[in-house]
Amino acid sequence: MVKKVVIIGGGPGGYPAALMLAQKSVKVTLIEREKLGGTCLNRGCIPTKVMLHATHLLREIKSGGRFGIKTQKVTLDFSQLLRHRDQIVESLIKGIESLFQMRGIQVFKGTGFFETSRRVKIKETGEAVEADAVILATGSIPAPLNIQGGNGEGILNSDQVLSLKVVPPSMIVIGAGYIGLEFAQIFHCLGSRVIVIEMENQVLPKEDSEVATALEEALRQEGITIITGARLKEISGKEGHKVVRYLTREGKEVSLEAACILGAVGRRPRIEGLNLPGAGVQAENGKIVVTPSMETTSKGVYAIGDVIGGFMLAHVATAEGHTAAENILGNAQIMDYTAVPRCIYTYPEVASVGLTEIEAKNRYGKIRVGSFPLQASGRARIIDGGGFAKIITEDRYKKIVGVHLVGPHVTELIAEATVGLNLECTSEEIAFSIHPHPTLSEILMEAALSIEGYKVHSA
Amino acid sequence: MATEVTIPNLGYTMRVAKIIKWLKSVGDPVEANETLLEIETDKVAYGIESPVVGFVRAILANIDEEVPVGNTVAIIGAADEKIDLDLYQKREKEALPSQSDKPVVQKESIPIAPQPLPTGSFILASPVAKKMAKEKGIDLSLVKGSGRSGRIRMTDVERYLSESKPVRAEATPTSGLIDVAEIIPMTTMRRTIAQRLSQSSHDAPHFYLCMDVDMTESKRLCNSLLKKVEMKTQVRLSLNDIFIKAAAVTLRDYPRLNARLRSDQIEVLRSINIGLAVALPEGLIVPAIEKADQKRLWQIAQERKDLVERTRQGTLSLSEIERGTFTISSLGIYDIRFFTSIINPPQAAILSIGKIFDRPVAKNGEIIIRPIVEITLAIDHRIIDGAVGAKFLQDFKDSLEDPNLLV
Repeated sequence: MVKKVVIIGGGPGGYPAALMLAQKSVKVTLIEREKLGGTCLNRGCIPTKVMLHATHLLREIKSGGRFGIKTQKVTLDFSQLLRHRDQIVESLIKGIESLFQMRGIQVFKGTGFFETSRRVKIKETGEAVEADAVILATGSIPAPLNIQGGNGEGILNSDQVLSLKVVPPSMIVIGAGYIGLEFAQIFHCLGSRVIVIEMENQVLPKEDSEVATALEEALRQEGITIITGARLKEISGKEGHKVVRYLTREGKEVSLEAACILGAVGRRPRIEGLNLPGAGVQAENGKIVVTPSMETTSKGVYAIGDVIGGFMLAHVATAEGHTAAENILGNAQIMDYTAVPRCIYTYPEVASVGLTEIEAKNRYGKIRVGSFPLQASGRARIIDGGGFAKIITEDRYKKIVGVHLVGPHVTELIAEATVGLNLECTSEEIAFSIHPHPTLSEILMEAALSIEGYKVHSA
Repeated sequence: MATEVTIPNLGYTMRVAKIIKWLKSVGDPVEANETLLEIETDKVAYGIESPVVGFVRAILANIDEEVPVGNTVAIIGAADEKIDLDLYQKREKEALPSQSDKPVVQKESIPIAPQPLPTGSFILASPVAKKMAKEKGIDLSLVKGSGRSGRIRMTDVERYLSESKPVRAEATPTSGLIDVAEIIPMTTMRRTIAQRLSQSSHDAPHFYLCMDVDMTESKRLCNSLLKKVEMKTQVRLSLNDIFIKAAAVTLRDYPRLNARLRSDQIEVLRSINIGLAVALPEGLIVPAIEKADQKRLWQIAQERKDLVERTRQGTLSLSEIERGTFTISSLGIYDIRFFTSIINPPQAAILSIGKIFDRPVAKNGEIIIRPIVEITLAIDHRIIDGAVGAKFLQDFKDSLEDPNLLV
C-alpha cells in the first residue's frame, strides 16, 4: 500500500496527479523549481491563448462593418495585453495553490534530484524527501536551433518571445509546427512583418495534408509569408538585424532579414541533473523510457508528460499523470494514445484526433472519407469562418479512425470526435445523433452523414 | 413500455402449447433472454425467454393450461410501470372464448418498489464491437472486455474470434481439408429430437431381436378386405394397418412392452396406443392410434390415414402425439431389408419393419417363393428380458402369418 508519493514537477502532468493521489489518502509532496502550472500555464498554452484571443478580438472588431458596426481606428496596447495575460496566469496559479492547500499537498520549492529511487533531494536546500513511489514530471525545454549561428543574439525561443516588451517590426519564425504558427499569427496581428520558414514540404508536418494546406492558405491570405521545403544554412547578423540564409526547394540560395528570429523547432525532455542512474531510471534518445503503465525501468518510479517524449501536449501529460496515479493506487491502468486531440488556436483553428488520411490508408487499406465544407453551415456563415470537417473511417464497419477540422471554434468541437474515437464509434452514431441547430457542431454530423450516403447540406 | 411474452410458433405444426413450469413469479426481475417458463408442444419441450430486461408484472396462464400460439402468457415491464391487465385479458377472451373462464394465476399487476434494473443486461461494448459481433454472429456476453470497466472493444471481439477459430466454419475452408458448404442451425425441434434420442440411446440399454415373417396370409387378408374397407371408408387398407392391429392385440399379453420407466417404477399402461413414425422434412413425428387393440381394421386404416395426413398438414394436437405407448417404424417403401430403431422415450419398445421381398423359402423339403418381411424389435432391457421380447415377437409373427383372428 502506497502512503507517500513524491512528484518532481508541478506542470499539467504533475499537479493533477498530485490532486488525484491526495484525494485517495496519499501523502503527496511536490517539488517545483518555478511556479505551479509548468510550461502550459506559465510559458505555453495559457499565455499564448490570451494573446491569440486578443488578436482574434481585434480581427472581429475590425470586421464588424458587415454587421453595420462602425469603428474608429482600433489600436492595441501591447503592455496592457501583457498585463492582462500575466494576471490570468497568476490567477490560475493561485487556483492550483488553493486546491493544493485544500488537499494538504506539500510543495517544496527547488530542483529535485534522485538520491535513491525512494529518496529525492532538493538541490537548493539540501532537504530530502522519502516516498513509496515517485512521479517524474519535469517537462521539457525549447529545442535549440541546430544550425550555424543558431544560438547567437537576437534569437528567441518560445519562452523568451513571451518576455518581449515591445512588438518587433519583423520576425522570422523557424519551424511551422503549432508553436511557430501560433506565434507567427500573434505577431503578425500585432503588427510585425512575419515570415515562417519550414524544412518540411507542408506546415504542420505531422497533420493531415488537407488540413495543413487549408491553414497555410488562410495564413498566407492574412499576409504571413510562408516558405516550406527550405534548407537552413546559417543565421547571422546582430540583434535587430538578423539574416537567415537558406536553400529553396529548387536549390536556390536566399537570404531574408528580420529584426528577430523565433526558433520553434520542437521541445526537448528535461532530464539533466536528475541523477537518473542513482534511481535506476533509464533514458533513451534523451527521453525517459516508460511502460504503458507509465512506470520507468525502476519499480515504483513513474514518469509522465514531456519528459517521456511522445505527443508533448498538456492534456496528454494530464492523462499520463492519471494513469500513473491509478497504478500507484493499485488500479492497473495503461495509456491509450488512440484518441489524443491536437489543437492549434490560430485563425482559423485546426483540431484533429486520430489518424491522418495517409496514416489511415496505410493502416486499413480501404477507408471512407466524409467531409463537409463550412460554407454550407448556417452558423459558420454568421461567424464568417471558412474551413471544413473531415471524418475518416475504415471501410468495413465504418469505425471512425480520424477526424480533422478547420474553422472557428473547432478546438471545442474536437472533443465530440475524441469521445467518438475513444468509444470506438462508427460514423453512424455521429450521423444519427441529433446535433443542435444552428451550431458549428452540425459539421461533424454532416461529414458523418456523407459517409452514411447522405449529403444533406452539401453537394 | 410493457412487453408481452407470447407463445411462439415453433416452426411447423404447432397450434397450442402446454405450460409446464413457471421459472419466475410476478415481481421477479428478469434479464433479456432469461428463461421465464417451460412449455411443451408436440414432442418438443421448450423454454420461453423474456425478450427484454425488466420485471415480471403479470402471469396470464396456469401450469398445465394449453395456450394457443400467439397468446400472451406474461407481461414484462418496468418496476413502476402501470399495467392495464384488463386490456390483455379482454383481448385474450375475445380471441379464444373457450379458454376465457380459466382462472389466471396472479391476476393483479402488483406494483413493485423501483429498483435498479438487473445488471449484465446491458453489455458494455463499443459500437464497432457490437457491429462486428452482429456480423460474425457472436454472443457478446461471452466476450471478455479489456476496456475501462470491462468495456468490450473491437480488439476483444477479434481476439475472441481468433481464439474460437478452430471450431468456426468460417475458418475451416482455409484449413484445406474439409470444406463446409453450409451451416444449418439446429431448430428447436431438431434439438429436441437430438436430445431425446441420445438420451434414449444412452439411458435405455437396447436389446434387438429379429425375425422373418411370411406375409402370404396377411397380404391375402389385406387384398380380400381392400374393396370392403374402401367402400366403407374411402381409405385404402394397407399392410401397415395389419401390423398396427397385430402389434396392439399381441401387446395385450405382454404388458411389460406397453409400459414406461418413471424414476424407479415400471408403469404398465392401460391403453394400447400404437404410434406410427411419420417422416417430415423437419424431423420425425409419431402420432398414435388410441386403443388400437380394440379397433377394427377399417377403423385403424381410417385413423391412420387421417393422422398421417394431419401430421403432414401440421394440424395434430399435442395429445395425439403424446398418447403413444408403443411405436412401429416402417421403411418398407425403400429396399430396406432390416433395420433397428431407437426406442421413442418414455416407451419400452419399438418395432422396425423392412420391405416385403419375395424370397425363396424352404417348406416341407421344397423351395417355394414367399413374401417375407424382416421385423426387428428393440426393447429397453432394463425392464424387459430378452425371452419376453422373443415371445412377444413370436406371437406377433404368428398373428401375421395367421391373421384371421385379427379381423
